[in-house]
Amino acid sequence: MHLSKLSGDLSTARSDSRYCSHTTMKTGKNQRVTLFVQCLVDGIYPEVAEAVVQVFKGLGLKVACPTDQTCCGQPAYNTGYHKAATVAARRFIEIFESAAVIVCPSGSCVDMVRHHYPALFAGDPSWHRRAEAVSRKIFEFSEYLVDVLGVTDLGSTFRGRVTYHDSCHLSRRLGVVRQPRVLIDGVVGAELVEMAESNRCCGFGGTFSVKYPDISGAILADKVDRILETGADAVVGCDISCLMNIAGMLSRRNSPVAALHIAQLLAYR
Amino acid sequence: MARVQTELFNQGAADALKDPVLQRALAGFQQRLGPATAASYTGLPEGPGLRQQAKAVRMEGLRHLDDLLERLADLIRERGGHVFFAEDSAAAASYCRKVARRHNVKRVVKGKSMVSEEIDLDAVLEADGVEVVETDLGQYIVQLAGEPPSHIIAPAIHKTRHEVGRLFAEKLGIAYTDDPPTLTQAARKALREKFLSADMGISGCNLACAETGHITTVSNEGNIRMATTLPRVHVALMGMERIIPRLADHDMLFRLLARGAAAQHMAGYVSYIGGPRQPAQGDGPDEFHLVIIDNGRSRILADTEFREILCCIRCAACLNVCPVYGKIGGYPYGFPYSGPVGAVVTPLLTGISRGKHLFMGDPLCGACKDACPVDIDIPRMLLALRRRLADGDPAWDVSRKYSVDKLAFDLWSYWIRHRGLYEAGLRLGAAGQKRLAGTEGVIESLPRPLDGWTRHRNLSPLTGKSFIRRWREHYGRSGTETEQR
Amino acid sequence: MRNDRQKSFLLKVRQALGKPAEGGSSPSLFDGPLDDPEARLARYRERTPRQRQALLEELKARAGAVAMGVSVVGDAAAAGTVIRDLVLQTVPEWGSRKRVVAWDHPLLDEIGLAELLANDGVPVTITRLDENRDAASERRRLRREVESAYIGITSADFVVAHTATMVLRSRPGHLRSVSLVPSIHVCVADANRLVADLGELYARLQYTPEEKKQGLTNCLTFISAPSKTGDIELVMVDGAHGPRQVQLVLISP
Repeated sequence: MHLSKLSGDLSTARSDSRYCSHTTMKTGKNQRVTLFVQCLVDGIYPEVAEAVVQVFKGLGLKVACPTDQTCCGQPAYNTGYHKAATVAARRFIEIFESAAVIVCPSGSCVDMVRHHYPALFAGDPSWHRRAEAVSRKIFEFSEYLVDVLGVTDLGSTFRGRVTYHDSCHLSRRLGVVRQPRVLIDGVVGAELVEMAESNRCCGFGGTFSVKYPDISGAILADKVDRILETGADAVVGCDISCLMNIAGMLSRRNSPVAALHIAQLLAYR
Repeated sequence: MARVQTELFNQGAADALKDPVLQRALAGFQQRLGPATAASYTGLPEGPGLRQQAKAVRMEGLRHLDDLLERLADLIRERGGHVFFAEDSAAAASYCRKVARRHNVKRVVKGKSMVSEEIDLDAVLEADGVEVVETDLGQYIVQLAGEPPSHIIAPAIHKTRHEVGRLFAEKLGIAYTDDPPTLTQAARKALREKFLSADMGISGCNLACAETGHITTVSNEGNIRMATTLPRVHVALMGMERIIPRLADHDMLFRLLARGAAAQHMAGYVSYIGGPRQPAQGDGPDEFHLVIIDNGRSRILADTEFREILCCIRCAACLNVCPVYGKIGGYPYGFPYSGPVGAVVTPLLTGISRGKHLFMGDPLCGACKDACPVDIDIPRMLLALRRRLADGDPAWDVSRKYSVDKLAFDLWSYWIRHRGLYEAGLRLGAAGQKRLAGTEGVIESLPRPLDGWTRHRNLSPLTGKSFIRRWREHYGRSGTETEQR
Repeated sequence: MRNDRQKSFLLKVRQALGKPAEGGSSPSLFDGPLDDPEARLARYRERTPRQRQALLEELKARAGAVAMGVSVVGDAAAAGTVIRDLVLQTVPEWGSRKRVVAWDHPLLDEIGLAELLANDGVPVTITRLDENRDAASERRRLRREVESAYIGITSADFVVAHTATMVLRSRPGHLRSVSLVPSIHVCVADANRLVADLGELYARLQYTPEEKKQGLTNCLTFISAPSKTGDIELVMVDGAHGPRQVQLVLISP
């Protein structure tokens, strides 16, 4: 488990069609995927986005990544500041509406765009139309791989036991529960050990984790206990925000258990 | 009205987290109730979609609430019952006191009623010299301990069996035991005497039926049947929203209520009460009074964004899955309604600004919505409350003041509009964190206002070069790989 | 005064709903049932013996899951035997004297409880008000009898298989306290009162003429389990305030 292995020159990301030899591609090889890189990935965990790119290139897809993107607006929206959130949403729509398909390695950002954008523009018909259009073509990473591309085996290898954390917005609001597990099953050598209450909140909740640190920390402590009970070498998730939260306590407890975004797991060879 | 202490949420939460007895009592109860309830919905013959149907019935009832209440009152009066419409807590409590005085009531036995907690009825009657005995076992326990309930249907969930044992030894004079059946039997014996000698019984109302003109009471213990059958006078309290149009609607609602509350198929006892003892009958109260209470509900009803919370049937399923409730219990919510439903309804009943921590102090995980037997979208309303707080709303007496948060998000919305500035901010942060990073390259201590994060966890530092910047350097400003230079 | 109060209360509700000040009733709300009651009633009428048997099995299984006893017997005499066995096998919870109280009900008359238990020295009180005496003192007398009995015997208007629910109306002679105050509740009902589920129950209550005429009465009670509580650490304990034992006896000729 050397995360550093994943970082580095993007041009080394392989383009190799053998990774999808056992799967049926529902879309053409020339499909271009436009990446929305969640702010935490962009600023703290760039290796996750690199892994996403590596996986897509391995599938022979073309990847675009608009370089003026910033944030989907979720922090403002969840705190009640709709005006600020609307600014972010308009900007997001302007940047991404020309894309054929948008993929984001974060369930909660996809939930924001897919479900909250249309609500945000409920009183503005023309923006509402544009929001609806964008909401239909954004996909969470694992959802896109399994549901859209029909990929389950990426030729990945990982030696060890992993456990999977169902992040709240991904599992409850996007209904993505099966897809990541299918992908983990396809990783050679990875043994999936389910933790108890895998869909219980990790206590992150955005600003909640900073403003109500003790409640958040207590919820997180339970989550980390459930993870450690499995004896897994790594906890895998689809939302870096949860993983950052979980990794923060694992690190505080000096635990060797790694917190991996699913893209990182799939990028292991 | 019950004392409102919603502003003390953080202090209450801190105390709760430090209380080892509470933590022991709370540990495990959600694991036992939460998953079982979810499984019980799946086991419904109609499937879990029945929850949406039930919500539609509740919403329909709310749209016709005026007519439903009028019909209910008419039919109950036809059977000789009395109906009192109370606009607020004080009117409801003083009506009950008047009835008690008129009948020279010395002892009242009560079935658990959340609305009676809301209007703080026990205190009003006790101030009048009436002995008020709570008869739901959990409620009896907290009454003996001099505490309010901490859960909507399991009022003493915060107490361990050892605490109950010590309490009963002290208050009931029995030998100490921590055996729940023995403790239950002790309460059964003590309360039987109270039931048989009480002058007045007080109950709540689960879901009244407008079509037939009955209130309903639901319990597993049988205490509500005792309180509504044996004393001379029965007073029922009902939040005005607790009514459905048709009898047939109770089919799904009672099955869902039992599942939400305790993963049961059906509650042990359901009673339809539509009036006092009829002339030739051998038992039942001589007088029946129904008190229908507004106390702020009409304001909720008028706000279509929040009306949905009035669908609640007080089963507490949301408390049984909420990660926050699971850690802090019911007291920090500062009002009888706790947990996710309390986080919405309490600020609406008692003040949004004052109760802001109830809806801000929540990770928005959404477990409550999935657990709700009538599919109430609590997370949506938590967000709506946050918006009212941020924007201000005169209809809810929320002032439009300029807060630090507002300033922060105004700046934020400028920052995220300019990628260059955004990038500069990231670089500034990366430079600034150098003195924060610990030996392992992780940040173990952040300055205010971010210090909350590092109280319980570390933080990975910002990258020196953001992903987007790397991408741009590689593929150019358009970010499209085919345009690679 | 009361009307003013009600008026202003409901006016506030109407305003909240954006309705005009003068409300009309919503009769349409009660016109149409949610689904076809005829279909539910037909289901009941056309039930084959095999389907009825299946319902009985379902009832037993559900009752068993909540620690409620179910006996299916062929006639009133056999029901009497079940009751007598229960009397012989159980002891009073409060006091030492075995006393039984029972509804004034034709099905129980047929069993002849008083004669049945006379040899065992167990007195049976039938909850019938003596019309020749003062009603209030009669009610007090019956109340004392109910309080001192350890077994209460009732019938049921309906029994619901899916939820193991006994449905009891309040009538003269059918005291609510008989199924509540004694430690053991025995309910004797004719198997033809068995319905499949709550939906069918409500359809029968509302759409068969003889049931509709009676209505729900001033107190309709559903009993689906012995009294129980989980209020101490969620440990389930039978016998919270009501009967700690419930026995349903269905007579199915």
